[in-house]
Amino acid sequence: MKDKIKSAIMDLFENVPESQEAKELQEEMISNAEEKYEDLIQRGFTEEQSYTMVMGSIGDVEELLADLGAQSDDGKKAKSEYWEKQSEYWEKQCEYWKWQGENLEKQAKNLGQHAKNFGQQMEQSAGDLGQQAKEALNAFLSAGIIDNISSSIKQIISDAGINLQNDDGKYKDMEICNERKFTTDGITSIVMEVQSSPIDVDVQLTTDPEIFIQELYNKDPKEDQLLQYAVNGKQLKIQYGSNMIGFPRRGTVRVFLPEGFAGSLEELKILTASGDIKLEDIGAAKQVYKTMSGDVCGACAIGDVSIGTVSGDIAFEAVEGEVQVKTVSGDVKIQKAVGKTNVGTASGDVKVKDCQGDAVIRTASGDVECNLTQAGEKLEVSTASGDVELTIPDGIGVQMTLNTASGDIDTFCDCISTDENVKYVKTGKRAVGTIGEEPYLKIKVSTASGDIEINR
Amino acid sequence: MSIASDLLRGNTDTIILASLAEHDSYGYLINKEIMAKTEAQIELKDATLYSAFRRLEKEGLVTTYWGDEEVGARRRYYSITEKGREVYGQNKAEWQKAKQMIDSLLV
Repeated sequence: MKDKIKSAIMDLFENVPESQEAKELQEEMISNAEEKYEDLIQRGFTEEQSYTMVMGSIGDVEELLADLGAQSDDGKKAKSEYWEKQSEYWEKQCEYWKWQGENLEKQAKNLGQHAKNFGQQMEQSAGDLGQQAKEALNAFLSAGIIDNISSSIKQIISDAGINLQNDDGKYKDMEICNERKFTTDGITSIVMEVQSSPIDVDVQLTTDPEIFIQELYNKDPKEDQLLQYAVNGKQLKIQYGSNMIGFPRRGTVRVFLPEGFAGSLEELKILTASGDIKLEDIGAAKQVYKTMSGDVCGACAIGDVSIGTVSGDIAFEAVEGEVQVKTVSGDVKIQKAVGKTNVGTASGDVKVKDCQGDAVIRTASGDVECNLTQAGEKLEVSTASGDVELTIPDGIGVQMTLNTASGDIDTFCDCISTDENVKYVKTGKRAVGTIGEEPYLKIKVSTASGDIEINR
Repeated sequence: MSIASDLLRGNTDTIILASLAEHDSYGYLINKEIMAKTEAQIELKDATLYSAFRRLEKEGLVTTYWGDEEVGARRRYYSITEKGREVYGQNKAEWQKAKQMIDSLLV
């Protein structure tokens, strides 16, 4: 790098007639520049930064060199060469950042794909496992081995929900195997933890005054395979039975909550594995729903809602509180979000139709579409390769900071930038500005390769 | 900063003389000391500095000699002459006067 400084300074003298004076000035400039460069390195600047700073502090040498006999045209040439070097540097910087952006995008895409594959593999291997067991048993059966096995083993096989001859249609018909009723007295929390079972959970409202729970299975479970219920003080806790061997392959738990009671709960927590969670209008202050490959689908939730899935999709008609969603490859769709919205996905898409509070949305490769209908304080979106499309209400004050590495930026300000209320600058991959009056809605969007579109 | 940079431009020679009045010095060191005294707000461009050196040398206000650094490039030192000290004293007095006048006008 020191050689580069030396040759850059020598280049400045290219058109200066040879003289002792010129030679001495050149030597002097080089020695001072080198010392400055060393100092900057010592202070922690990179070689590239230090070089630019050294070259940047040389200044306009035209007059100085003219004094040494350089023709003024040559002086100009020396000056322009100097600026050329500066711009070369910035070009390199741009190339570097572009390269970084591309890398990031590739990584994000890979990550999203991995996540998706993982989810699919999990589902696949669960299915495969059942299939393999079935095939093995069928093989035993056709070889006549099973006929010689005691009836108790046959019972186990049948308990395992494996239909040895044909398995179509039968599983669709589930029967009510257990029903329980609980009084709502003193209960403020319902926690259902069935996270190692394929149970769908369906929460509905009823006009009855009691909590009513139905268990439906594709075949009769044993006594110790039914769900376990316990009332501990204010909490009704539901867990799977002690015997999971040969558990029915499919089940649905229908939970009927009295209308007024469903609106006064403090907590409703449901954890399942591959089952779907379906909810009617629930008013619990704190709501937690978790499933692996199942979907979570809700009507209007009043209270703060936290949802987690791996590959399952999430859809809510409305959340009248804060909503927090974490998923890997599931899509997230919320029709109306009244409180704060916080969504994180890897490859899932995010769509919030009627967003009334602050929103923070992060995805890797998912697209984001958010329609803000009320002026909040902030709207932050970041994606790697996903596109971002935001719509904000007309007439509100906005402060925008939009960044992308290689995507396009397209905002409503592009065509109204002559308005005196609009202070908006778009330079290539960055747009900043304020529109209208305070208080501002702060919009921050950053993407690697995704496009950014802001409408109103 | 434009008032400051105008004033600075008009007083570059005096500022360099002030630095050399303390001790012999060379280009980068002078600049470094200026930056230290002004908390990095003022840094002379190399072109400005070397033009000033040439001017000061021609007017006989400074003399120059090469250092005998054993490691690295040679440094070109500058030393203030008697005439240089005289001019520096005059310039400084003039600046004080000008400063007072301007201060009294800008109250």
